[in-house]
Amino acid sequence: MPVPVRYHLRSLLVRRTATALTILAVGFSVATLVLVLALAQGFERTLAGTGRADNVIFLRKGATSEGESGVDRESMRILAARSEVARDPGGRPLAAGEMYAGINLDKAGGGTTNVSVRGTAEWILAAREGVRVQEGRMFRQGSEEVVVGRALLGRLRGLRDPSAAGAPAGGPIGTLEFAGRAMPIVGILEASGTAPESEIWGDAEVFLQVFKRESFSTVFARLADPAGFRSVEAAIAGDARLQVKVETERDYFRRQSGGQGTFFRVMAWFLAAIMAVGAIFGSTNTLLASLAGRSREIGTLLAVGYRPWHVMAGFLLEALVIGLVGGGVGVAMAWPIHGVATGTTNWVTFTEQAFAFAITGEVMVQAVAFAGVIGVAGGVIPALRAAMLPPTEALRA
Amino acid sequence: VIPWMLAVAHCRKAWFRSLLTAGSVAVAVFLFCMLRTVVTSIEATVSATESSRLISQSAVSLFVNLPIAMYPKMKSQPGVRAVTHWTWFGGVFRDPKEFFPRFAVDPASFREVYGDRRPGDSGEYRLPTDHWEAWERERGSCIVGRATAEKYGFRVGDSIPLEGTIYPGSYSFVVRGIYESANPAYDEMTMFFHWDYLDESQGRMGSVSTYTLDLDRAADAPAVAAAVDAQFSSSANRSRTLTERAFQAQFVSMWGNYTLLLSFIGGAVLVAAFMVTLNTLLLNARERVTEVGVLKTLGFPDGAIGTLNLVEAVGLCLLGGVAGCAVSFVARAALEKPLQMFVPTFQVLPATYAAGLAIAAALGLVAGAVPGILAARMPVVRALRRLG
Repeated sequence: MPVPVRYHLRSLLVRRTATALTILAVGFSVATLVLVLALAQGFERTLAGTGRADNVIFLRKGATSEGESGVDRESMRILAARSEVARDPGGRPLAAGEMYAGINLDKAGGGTTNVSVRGTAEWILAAREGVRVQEGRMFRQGSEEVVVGRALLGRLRGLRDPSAAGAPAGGPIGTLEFAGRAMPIVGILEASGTAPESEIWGDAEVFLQVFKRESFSTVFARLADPAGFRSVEAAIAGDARLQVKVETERDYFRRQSGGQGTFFRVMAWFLAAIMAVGAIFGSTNTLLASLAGRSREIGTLLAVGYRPWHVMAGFLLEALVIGLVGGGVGVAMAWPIHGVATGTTNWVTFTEQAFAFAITGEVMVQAVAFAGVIGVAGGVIPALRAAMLPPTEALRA
Repeated sequence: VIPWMLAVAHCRKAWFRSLLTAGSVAVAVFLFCMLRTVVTSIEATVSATESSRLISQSAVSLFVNLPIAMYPKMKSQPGVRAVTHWTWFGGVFRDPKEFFPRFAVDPASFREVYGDRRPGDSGEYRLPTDHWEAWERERGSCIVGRATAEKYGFRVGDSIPLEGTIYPGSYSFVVRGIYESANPAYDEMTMFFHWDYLDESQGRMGSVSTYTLDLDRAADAPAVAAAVDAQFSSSANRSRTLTERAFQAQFVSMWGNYTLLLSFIGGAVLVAAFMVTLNTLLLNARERVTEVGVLKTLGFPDGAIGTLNLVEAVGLCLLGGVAGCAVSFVARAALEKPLQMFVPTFQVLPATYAAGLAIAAALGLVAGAVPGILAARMPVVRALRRLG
């Protein structure tokens, strides 16, 4: 004998108000989970999607980020000359000394933030595929010109707001004012929502002067073959002249998302789990009240041959449906946040990382699974009670 | 006349439902208190700053150091009582994940600005005098905050090994003191060691991250800040001098729009609790239709019945509110440690508890008003007809 599914679903509709309020309570818990998970997901996706496996970054031994690193020019020459490094048609190695720092700039909405600036080579886009100049052009070698990441538009004071009416493409983007200089912004970088969109790029030698440094922060190189990574790694470990370590560009950015992404996730589940307790209480109340008014119906079910486990399963089913519908409602309530741009400080680089909330399939699956668990948990006590109703007493009620 | 004894009867009859409802209000008030405390704790790092202090950093960026040669010029500025400097060391202890802030400082002037030599016993960092002296005397020594010492079991006399990140090399510092902070703007996680020792190990690079200027009078702060920046405006190393408050506010603003996010979550928490409470009260009302009919027939006025419902609702929610505050009180201590990375102290303010209770009462009032109104408006005949 199958569980009378239709009877149970109808019961939910009979007590419309109670069912709806319970679904909403579950929905708000799920919406909170989705909101914070979308934050974590957006942050992680931005970093995990950055960089390529055949590009490498040389950092000083012991340095955990580009900002802490320093590599002198002699090391740069030794590294660029290695055979694993790709060459352009003219035979020039695709390797560049880069200078990286965070600079303090005013935010568009007030307050200040640290923004990543990267001094690099004019030809770098040839090696950093996936990053392109969306508007304007690349900076010129040896000039004070800079290009800015797309995500910074509208986030920094003095930069054109991308959404503002009357901001025609090709119009002036702005000037970057810092360290007593006014650097013309000549282009906008697009990188499919990845980390370079939060950076400002200019000429390495010019930036070294501005920051009064002699050494580069890091050396960037394109490998002719990704398999060359192992031999580069072994070679620099054995070369006493080099105080550097090597990481692929992809791994370097992935590593940055680790701790902070985990923190956001822990926060999401912590908040959601506590909120779930409230939602479970609510759904237990609803189902118990429903049960109290349905003794006669349960008695009838038992009298016509359904077993207590049928009744129990039926109540769990009602609970599950409340949970799942609540999950759907929660995802729907959180949906408007999807794609909304925001930013926070990246803990590894200590600079602003722009990203967009991302309600991915993974987030939705987790949210709905969570909603199902809330639902069933709220059904346990009512289902047990329903199963324990003696049929005669149930009918007499 | 209000039939109060009915309230007791209601509680007895629907005790489990009432308990669950109060429980969900408790959960909401607890989360509210915790979220609110995150905000107030972050705000305290700005509001608890010392108004008679200035921080001077490089005009280019916080990541660019200033030369130590600026020290005497800062110190000779009129209105400046004492000057000290901080240098961000970074470094790795065991593993990059085992993070606590490490700074190289000048112990002698540090004591004047933050320690026992600050006039009026007003220094933020508290340490027995002999520990201060031992630290100042021994170049390879350090002091660490209580929280970090507890986390890693550091005791006075232990060595803390560090691997340099910005400043290459292997270092080891002997703990000569474990300080406590008297100000919520200052954490108890940081390790301080001798700048001179670091500078020597790096071949006398002679640079520091920031200078702290302790002024005679807080009122002079804007003038002194302007004078300091003017003095270096044409030099190769321009300074940007901020009040301690503005300096701290920089770090808070780096978090992004956290208040908006937390408000969203707080709102969702409260609305969810409202749904659960309203549902319970509607269920109650539904089951009490007959009772209301009887009461009306007996001549109890509509207002009395409505008031009884409202009082019950508010009482139930306040019970939950008190429980939520109690849980917050206990959980605060447990959450302080994991949150130490972000806020130096995690103290639930009395105003936060009060707001939590007020919210609980408001939930009861609003949710209670709905079935109350329905009950009061119900015609006697319809109510009694349900007797069946």
